[in-house]
Amino acid sequence: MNVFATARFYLHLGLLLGISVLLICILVAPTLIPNGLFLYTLSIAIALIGAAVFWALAYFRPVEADAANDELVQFSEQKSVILGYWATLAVFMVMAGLTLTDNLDARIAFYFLGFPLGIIPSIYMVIAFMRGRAG
Amino acid sequence: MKLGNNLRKYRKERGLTQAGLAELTKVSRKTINTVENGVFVPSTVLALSIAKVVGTSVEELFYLDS
Repeated sequence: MNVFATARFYLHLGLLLGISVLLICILVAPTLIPNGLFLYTLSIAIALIGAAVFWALAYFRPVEADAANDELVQFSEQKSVILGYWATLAVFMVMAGLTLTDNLDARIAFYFLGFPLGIIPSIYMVIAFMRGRAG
Repeated sequence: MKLGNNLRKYRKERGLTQAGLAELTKVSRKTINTVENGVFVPSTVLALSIAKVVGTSVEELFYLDS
């Protein structure tokens, strides 16, 4: 199995699980969430480490990286991003409605927009991978 | 309208596996598999590349299946 495609699969799975857990914590037990700035820094650090890992894989295994980024994968990624866009727009409309009617704090609504943006493309890519449509 | 293809036939005539063809065209085996099964429509560049490797023309390889 292509190591680059496998790494991407686990990255999306990790994103999906991580953001889902965070969402559940916010909804069910907000007190479990530590300092927001800590989570923010942690997210940035994980993103940088992920980027470094992918760069290293692409550098040391260029043939596999090319095959794992072929047009089928790019097509799946485009569809995942499009789906993420519409999902985020839908959530935005809901959040805007709740905020304008004073049923939700604008700050919380802002954070919620990050979930469809982060989760939906990853859900799509995980499913695409399992169906043999992404590397 | 769908895109039909004779890729499997030409690939086997050349004695190539999906993985072998994928390696020669610098894509993944899954891409070749999805093209063969009509799930994925390849770009012009990939279609030309596949046709070149299996030694035929794009017109012989792909056709419109109405």
